[in-house]
Amino acid sequence: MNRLHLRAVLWLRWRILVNRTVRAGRLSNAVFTILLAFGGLLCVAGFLTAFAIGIETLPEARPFHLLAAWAALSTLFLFIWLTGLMTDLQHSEVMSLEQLLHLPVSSHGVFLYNYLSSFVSVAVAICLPAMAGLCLAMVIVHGPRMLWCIPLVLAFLGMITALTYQLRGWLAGLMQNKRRGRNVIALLTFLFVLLIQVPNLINMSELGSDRTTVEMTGIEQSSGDEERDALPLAREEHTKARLKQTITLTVQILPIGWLAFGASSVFAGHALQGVACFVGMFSIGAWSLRRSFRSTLAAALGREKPVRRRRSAAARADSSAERGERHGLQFGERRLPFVDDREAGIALASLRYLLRAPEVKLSLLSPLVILLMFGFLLSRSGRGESLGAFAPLMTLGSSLIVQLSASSMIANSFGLDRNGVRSFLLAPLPRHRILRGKNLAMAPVGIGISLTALAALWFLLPLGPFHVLGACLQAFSAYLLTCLIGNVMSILIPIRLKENTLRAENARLKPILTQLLPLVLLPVAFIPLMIPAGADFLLRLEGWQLGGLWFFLLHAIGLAGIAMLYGRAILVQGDLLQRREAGILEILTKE
Amino acid sequence: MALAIETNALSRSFGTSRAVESVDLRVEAGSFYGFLGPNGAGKSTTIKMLTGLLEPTSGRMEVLGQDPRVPSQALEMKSRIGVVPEDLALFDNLTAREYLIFVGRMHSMPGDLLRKRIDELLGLLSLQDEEAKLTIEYSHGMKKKLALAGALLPDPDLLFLDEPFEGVDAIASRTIRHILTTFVERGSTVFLTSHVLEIVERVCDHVGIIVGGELVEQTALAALGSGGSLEERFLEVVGADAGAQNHLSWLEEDAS
Repeated sequence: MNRLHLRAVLWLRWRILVNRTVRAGRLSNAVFTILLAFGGLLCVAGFLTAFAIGIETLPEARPFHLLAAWAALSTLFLFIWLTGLMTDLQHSEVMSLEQLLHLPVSSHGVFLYNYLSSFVSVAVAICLPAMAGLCLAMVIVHGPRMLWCIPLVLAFLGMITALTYQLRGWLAGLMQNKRRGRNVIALLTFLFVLLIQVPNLINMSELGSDRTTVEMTGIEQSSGDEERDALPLAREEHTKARLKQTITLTVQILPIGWLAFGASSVFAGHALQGVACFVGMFSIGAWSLRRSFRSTLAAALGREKPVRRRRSAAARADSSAERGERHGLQFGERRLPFVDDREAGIALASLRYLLRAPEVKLSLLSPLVILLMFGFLLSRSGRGESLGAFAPLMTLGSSLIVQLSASSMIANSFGLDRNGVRSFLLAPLPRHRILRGKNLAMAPVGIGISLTALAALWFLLPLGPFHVLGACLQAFSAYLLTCLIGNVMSILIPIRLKENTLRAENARLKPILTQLLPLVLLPVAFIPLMIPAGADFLLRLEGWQLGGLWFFLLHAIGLAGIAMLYGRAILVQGDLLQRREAGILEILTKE
Repeated sequence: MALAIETNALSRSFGTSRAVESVDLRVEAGSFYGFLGPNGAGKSTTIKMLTGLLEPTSGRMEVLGQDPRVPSQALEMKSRIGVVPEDLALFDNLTAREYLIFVGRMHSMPGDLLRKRIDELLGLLSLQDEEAKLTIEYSHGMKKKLALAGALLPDPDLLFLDEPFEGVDAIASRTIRHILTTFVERGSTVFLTSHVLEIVERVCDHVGIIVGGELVEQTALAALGSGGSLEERFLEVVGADAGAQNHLSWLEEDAS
């Protein structure tokens, strides 16, 4: 191993991190410095705390306590490690071996340096000292046999880093195709977010489940005062036992839990189990490294695998053309009823590229996930019926969630076009038509998801037909209001976005605050939409059971008013766009 | 002769830096005008102003008899021009055909005519085999060709092309030159910027040279004939110093 090369690669990694932060502006710079100082403190504090807690508690600890402590440390490490991985994936410079292969370094060397440099990470910096502190405490309290924890920790770190390195190599291969690469990143981010939500979902699901409620209600009904008093205790014991069982089983089955399992086994005197855990983790790490070396190098050097043949681009083009002929008009050529042809052109082209953009797909999935989770919890709790009078208000809530999720796109619609914005502004048509076309493009998202959510709520909540019809009109009103606010923001405060993300290219304070502005403006703009739900609630209180007729009528009147407002305001916004278009281009396109 | 482009003291500043300074352009209708200058001279800034993509700080301009700063005239002008801007104006997530359909619809082109022209353009610029790809997957040269196709699609009277030959292969370059020459021969105007002086010399009939934001030369190419090649004239007006350091010491040492 050439130490100079290793130092150079480590320095490269550090400079990339520093430059990325410095370029992001003063605020990020300050945050980075604070985090760095905090990280340093955390390293020392982590070591000392783990050591002190170990010395203090280990003499009386049972194997499960140790298992839980190591499991917690492993989980913390994994969480920070995966967060870092997700960030790295979006910055190709860290992953790319091609950038080093032309230098006078062997391929093994490049791979090894890159792999070793991946140890310089926040996760290792934060968790390793704590792990070391706990190891030391264990050795002091329980003797030299606990030295086994050191190889276990190293094998754990080796396994995780090697596995993720293999994953990165595989992803690098996948992402050689740009289109697929963007989708891979979007999908991984989404899965990561879902993974984080799983414990939360399970927890809420357990709390709200009918089974628990029924069990407890049954006990309450059949027991006396003493038993009723003991109920919270019994519940706590029951929960603890289940948690203990789940954690023990998980660390035994999953290799990522073998550090915890191995350490507690050694502590309990089962040295063989500890050795098995070490061998298991070491083998997985070694195998992963070997695999990732082969696959990463093959990808970097462009070695082709003898896999199934892909259809050539020409063949795909032919079949695409055939498909086009079979279906007649292309998607972008279609006419839309009652819509100006040029507006329809803008709407269809915009919709097409929006639905292909991974960042948009990801953004659209978030309201669906929120609504799904909400619906799931509502159905599990069986409380839909009891919500009665609040049901119409909940339809507004679901509309608000959808519009807030779509607002990041509607409120920066030109930023989303990136260089394509020039095409719109070079187009020889009145500017209000551009705005209408772009608003129309987002309608399937803004209105479509709202109506889907409404259909689900219809099953879960006591909503009459008039309530549902009123809520449909409400979805249209909410969308038009979002468009009016979004258009003004798109014109006045456009934000240049990073490629493949909805994040501002310049992560300065102003763009970040601007991106948060819809969170304040939309709820305020939606206040008038609460009137029908409020009226419906008051009428119910007065005993006027009209099945939501007033809710529907008030929303119909509201929609008519908002549509008129939209019709007039869009002309003013068009003029504003005309005056601001050079300014918009200066912000959004590269000089 | 009628002027396709006319500017008077056209200027643009970015903060304290003056990118374009009092430029007086005269581009005759039906001419092939090459707008030359070193990197950062103000070529792209000028094109942006002429196409209405950038507000001038001061000065006057007319493109096809319209003022790009007056909204109603800007729309009229935009319906008669085609533009290949510096960073192109493509949408990453559209295919070539989808992008061209979009451009055609913006110009209110009838469906049959649009389809016919798209087929011809994609075939001529060798993009028909890449129809399944999104523009984000295109090479730089392919993107250039697609942007050019978009500019030509509505059959404009005036084409603004910012470095149309950059990153384009020799075959496509010849095709583009042929298209543009034919375009001018039938009376339309081309205003292009390029670093490739040989190509400018071959296709343009008028040239303008901008240096440090100032138009230092504007003439018919034929008028340069007696004074040597375009490259010599260009280096002369740009002020490339023959005595400036243009060698590497260790190469000189090895050679001696």
